[in-house]
Amino acid sequence: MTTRALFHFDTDAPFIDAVGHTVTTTGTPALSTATGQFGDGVFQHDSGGYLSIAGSDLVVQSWESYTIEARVWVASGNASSDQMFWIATDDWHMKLGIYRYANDPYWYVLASNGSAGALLSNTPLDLFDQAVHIAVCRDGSGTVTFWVNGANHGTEAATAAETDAYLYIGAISAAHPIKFEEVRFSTQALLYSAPFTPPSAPFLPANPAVLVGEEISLPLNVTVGEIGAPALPLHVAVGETGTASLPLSVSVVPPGLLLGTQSVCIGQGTDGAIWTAIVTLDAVDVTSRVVGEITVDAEEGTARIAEFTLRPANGTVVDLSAYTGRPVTIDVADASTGTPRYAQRLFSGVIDTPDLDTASRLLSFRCTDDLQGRCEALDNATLSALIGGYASSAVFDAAARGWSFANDQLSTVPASLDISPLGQLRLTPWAAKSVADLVLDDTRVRDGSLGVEIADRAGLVNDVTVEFDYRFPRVKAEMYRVEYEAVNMTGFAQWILDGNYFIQRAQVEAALESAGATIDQITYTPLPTTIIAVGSGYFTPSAADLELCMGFLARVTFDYAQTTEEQHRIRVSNALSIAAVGARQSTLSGALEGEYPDLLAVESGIRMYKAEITKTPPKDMANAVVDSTTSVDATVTSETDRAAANAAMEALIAMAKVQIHASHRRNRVSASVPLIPALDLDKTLRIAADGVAAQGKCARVAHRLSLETGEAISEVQIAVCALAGTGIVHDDTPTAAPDGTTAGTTMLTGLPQVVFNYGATQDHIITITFPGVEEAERANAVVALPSSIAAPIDENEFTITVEP
Amino acid sequence: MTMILKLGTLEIPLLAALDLEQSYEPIGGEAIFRTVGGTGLKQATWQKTRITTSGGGWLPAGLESLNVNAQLTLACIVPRAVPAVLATRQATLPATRRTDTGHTPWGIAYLADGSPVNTAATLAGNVATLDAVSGAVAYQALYLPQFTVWAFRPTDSGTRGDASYRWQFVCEEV
Repeated sequence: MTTRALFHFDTDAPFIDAVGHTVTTTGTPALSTATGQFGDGVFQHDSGGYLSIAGSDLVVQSWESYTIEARVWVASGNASSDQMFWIATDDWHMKLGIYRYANDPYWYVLASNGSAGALLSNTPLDLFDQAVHIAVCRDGSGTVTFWVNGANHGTEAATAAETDAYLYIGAISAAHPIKFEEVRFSTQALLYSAPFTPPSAPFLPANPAVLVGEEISLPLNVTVGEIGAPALPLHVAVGETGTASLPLSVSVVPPGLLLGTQSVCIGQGTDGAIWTAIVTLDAVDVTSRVVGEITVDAEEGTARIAEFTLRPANGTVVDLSAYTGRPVTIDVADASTGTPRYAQRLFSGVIDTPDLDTASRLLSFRCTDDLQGRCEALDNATLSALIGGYASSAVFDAAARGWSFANDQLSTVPASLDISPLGQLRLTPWAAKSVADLVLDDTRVRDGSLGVEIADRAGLVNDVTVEFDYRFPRVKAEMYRVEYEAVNMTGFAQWILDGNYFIQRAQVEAALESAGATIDQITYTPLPTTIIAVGSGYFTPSAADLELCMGFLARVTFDYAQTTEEQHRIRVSNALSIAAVGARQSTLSGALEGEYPDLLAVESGIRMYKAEITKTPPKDMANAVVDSTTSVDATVTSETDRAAANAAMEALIAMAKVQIHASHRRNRVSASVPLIPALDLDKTLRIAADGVAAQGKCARVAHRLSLETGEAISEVQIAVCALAGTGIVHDDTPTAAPDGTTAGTTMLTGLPQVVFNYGATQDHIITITFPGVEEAERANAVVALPSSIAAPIDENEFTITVEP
Repeated sequence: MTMILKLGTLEIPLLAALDLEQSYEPIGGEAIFRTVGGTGLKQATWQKTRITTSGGGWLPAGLESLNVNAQLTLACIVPRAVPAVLATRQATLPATRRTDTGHTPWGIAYLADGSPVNTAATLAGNVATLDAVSGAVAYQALYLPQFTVWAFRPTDSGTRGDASYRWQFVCEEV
């Protein structure tokens, strides 16, 4: 479809044809102030006033179809005169118009049958004071059909081509003006062949071009090819105060070009390809000054690099330093019609290094898409959202930003980060898609260009030991029951006759405390409170008896803090790889220590609190259980707690998995093909030529364009991961930190010993001794925790058949 | 009328060009990419013309007067042909052709026995319509190309013995 004339009638003085013809007015056609359906106004002709345009492109060949259409308002009332307007050529072979007989309450659409005659719509129309869409369509054999609001109102065979190179819009005579807006004339366009819904937006040309002062709306239709939400990521950088503008360029290309099944550098059918490059520097098209070869090289993990050379015009003053940082774009386009079309972007970036060869007067530029710089400009939250992965301040530098942070995250993700030719930052998983985006076979791969590189065994890693030590404090409490009976009532009298001493309560408490225990609860067996006959005398109770006892029962605790060290040894491995090539080992290590106040101070605080010396409860305190050792994990900082330790281990596990995967995808299959702009690092390619069949993610693509030799080549490399065969699914253990130790309760096995020197000639001292820390508890200080994680790798197609 | 070769403002005198040869050579990117299957895929970029003109005669041509550092118009003397559609006797000629008197396009009609017959051409824009020739089975429209060129520095020589002069210049379409 080619639009030959397009009028929106939003402005006048002058009227504007969006295609670009010069508009000539005859009479006084004017812009109505009535509000149109679109834009600012409508065209209203007066008696004898009309517009005309001229051009050889308005000639319609005998085999060409065309469509003339407009949106019109026919005024009601006035039954006394014809009302007519035309969109027609000078000889009336091609026309669309409105006709109304005198005193006829209706009107008709009028069209040409290819001669000077006229056809009227088969149904009179009672559509007044409203926007009506009318159209006449002529097919390639000459049949004319006209449509009103999408309904067929007449068909007639016609014959003649239209050789007139003029088009008129306006009135021959009109007593009551027709208003119309949106007039479009297109050739090679049979736009309507069946009932349709009239367009509800201003007409667009086949190649939209907006003139200065004109506005058009561009409906955007986004088709989602799979479940998900279509996204149109936009990034606007405003360098200074003012109004940010977002220039938007829309290029309509055949879908085959976007998919890569076609290329502007590969001819269609029996035609050869005629292509051209379009190079802009600082938004200025410099293609006409480009000499030599243009190269664009993209590889996983690095910035996209472009190089080209200019021959400046004689007399140009060159300031090399001024070029650095200037934006550059490189497109490749079809040039078969003489005018570049279907341009596709190969590179967007900036000049990194300009160079001048004074002998040849050539300026050469090395450009970069500035992947590192773009990452540096983003905050960690944005990079994290884009890349994902596992973060840990125990494994990575917490102060890392930008490119450094991105690389840290990428080390935990089996994917590559790069910038698309259009300048969009994107993450592409290493895993090849099950169905290749593009197949490069014998009809595309250059003879003799196929290359295969197999990864060496020395570089393989399939068994990674992750060593991670986590030290953190636990607060523990041992609670002993201490029970002692020096004498009971049965032997009470004899006890006295023997001259034995009773236990002083204060002595008991002192003995307990000197042993380091905290008294939780204590009860004493008191002396009798009644007169007891002792031998020939009597035992008479006294007030001093309150300080004595015959025995006691106490519960005491020992509170202490212990540093626990968990020694995680996580084996991340791929069993199939080990079976195939033997164990290829590597180690990753990390450590984390829980941050907590001085443990001695913690123990003191607990004792002081239990002794009611202080009312402030300690932050962490184990709830003592009699005859047991209970423990509780101390509350450490959020940067060093269990969650942080788990995050660190998960990051290390993820890194180990990525290491294993990366080492197995070092096989490379390479080939040269005619330049296909769709070839890029985000594509899964299948190369099937010359006995080699391999599928994998594109790891490298280099486009080379030589305007002088005519050759445009893409050199691609795919990363192939192949071990046990396609279809084999490797074990994959989720990346999760293994369980650590838990604070718990163990039974005390030892018993306290009480010795009371009660004899008359003894020292009357009571000594209480307790067992040391349980051996099991001591052993809990260092705990070895082995675990295993299965790391998967992809299985890509990779077969080589030796052919004669 | 004798056709005259012109380069810029210089008209090569007839006596300096008794013997004249002019060749048109397409220049520009053109390559054939051979695939593993043996298929050839043609790729091409821009195309321009290199015109090599050489001649000789009894007098020097005066080429040294040319300013070869400026673009020049080369009005060629060796015709090129475009086949015409038999039914309409029309052919679309390139816009880059001579239109000066005596150098306008003309036609050739071919009879069934292969013999050519001159015929006149009528131009409407770039479309040449040839006058009908009875018995013609094919038509060709001929024209004299005219290019805007950069000229390389010309060379010339002479032979005293036979008082003859030779010259050559090479031009490339801008």
